[in-house]
Formats: sequence, C-alpha cells, structure tokens
Amino acid sequence: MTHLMLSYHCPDHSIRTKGSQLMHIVNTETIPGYRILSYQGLVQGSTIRAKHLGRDIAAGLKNIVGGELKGYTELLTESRRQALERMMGQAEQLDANAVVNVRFTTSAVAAGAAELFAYGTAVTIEPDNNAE
Amino acid sequence: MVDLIFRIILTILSIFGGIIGIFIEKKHYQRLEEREATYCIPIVDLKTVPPGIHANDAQMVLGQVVIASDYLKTFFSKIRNIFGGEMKSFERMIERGRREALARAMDEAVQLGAVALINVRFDTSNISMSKKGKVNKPMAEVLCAATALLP
Repeated sequence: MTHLMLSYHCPDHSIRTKGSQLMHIVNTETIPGYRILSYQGLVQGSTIRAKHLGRDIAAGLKNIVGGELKGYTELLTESRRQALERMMGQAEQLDANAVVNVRFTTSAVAAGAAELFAYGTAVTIEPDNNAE
Repeated sequence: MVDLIFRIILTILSIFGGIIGIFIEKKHYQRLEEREATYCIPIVDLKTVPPGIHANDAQMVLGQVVIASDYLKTFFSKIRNIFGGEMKSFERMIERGRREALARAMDEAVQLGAVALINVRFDTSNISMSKKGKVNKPMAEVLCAATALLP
C-alpha cells in the first residue's frame, strides 16, 4: 500500500518540514488507517502578525460596503501556515511523524496585531495493515 | 467648514456603500446556496469515523475568512444598542462568514477526493484591532478546521 499524499495540504503549496519529511496533521484524536505507537507530548507554534498600512487603507475602503476583507484573509492564512510550520518543526525535533488533535486560537493582542496559535499532540504512527 | 463638507461626503459615501453592500450580500447568499447544493459527502462533527465509511488516510483542511461590517450597519447597530435586542445585520454578517469558511474547507476536501468531513470545528474571534479612542470597526475572523477522510 502506497501513500502519496501524506503532507498537510494547502491549495498553493504543501507544507513540508525542514527535513522535507511529509507529516500527518489532523484535528481528530486518531488517524484512520494508522496505529499510534507512542505519544511525544504537546507541540505548539505561534506567530504575531501586524497588518501594514497599505492593507489597512484598502480595508478601510472595503469597510464602506462591508463583506469579506480579502487582504486580511490572505494575511491570516499566511500567518496560520507559519504557526503550523513552527508546530511541525517542534514535532520533527521530537522525532514524531504526525500531529493529532490540532487546535487553533486567534486573539488580538494589541492594536494592529493578532496572535495566531496552533497546538497539538505529537505522535509516532505506522500504517495499520490489520484494519478491517 | 471644510470639516463639515468632509463629514457630509463621508456620510453620503457610507449610505451608498451600505446599499451596495446589501446587493453584494444577496449575491453572496446566492453563491453560497449554489455551492452548498454541490456538497456530496457527509459533514459531521464527530471525532470518530462514522459507521459505513471506509477510510485509510486523513488530512486536515482549513477554511478561513475575515469579514467586516459596513459603516451604515455599524451606525444602526449603535442605535440598536440603546434599546437592546437582536442585531439582525451582524447575525447575517457572521452567518455569511461561517458558511463561506465551511465552503472553503469543503472545496479543499473535495480537491483531495475526500469521502467524508469529520470533526468540523468553528472558531470565531474578534480582530477589530482598533486603537484607543477610535471608532471601532466590527471585524471578525472565522476559522473552520476539519479532518477530511481519504479513501
């Protein structure tokens, strides 16, 4: 059985850890088709991002009609990916090949800045050939 | 005098913007309904694989959207604040954001060829980031995180 898509998928590019190793990321407690061998503990990644002036002016104009602020959505997507990458970096240091039960929080810490935090449990998994 | 003219222009702009916003909102609802009609896999918030579904792999998918209210709605909401009660316009704003976030997570899952979407979680946070003493612009971020089951 070959598994080709083991990485956390993003529409434009998939996240890989520094060692270019593909990693399983899920927000459930188990991964279907895999057996958890050992738990490595909590891993986390956070990033604080400030918006820049150009985006702020564009958002101010968009605020006239309301609706989605694409610039901010992009900014937060990018930042959340960075938080995830940091979390995966920690998991890699612990020799884990998957992170389960991933959770996210977002908070505005100061005027013009938001903190994005991702955390989960690093685990070692192996394909479960006896499943069903 | 210049200040007064500036204020009048801003007010007119806000009223026009609000009216345009209503049309954009209607269009967005229409598009959301079209997208929701194409959902063909089960979406649940269970943590385990639902019975009857066979999965060999899983991957997390995310959908996120930042949504803001317009000046006109913000103004009316301030009047509403005097009497209290339901804020319909903000309700619609958040609902749009939430449905859009789920639709984006769904798009990602469909792209991966998922058979089901489990453990759907929504997280809404206020990121209005206003400075002290400035007018608060209601702005919220909606995140939808889910696990896509792959065959």
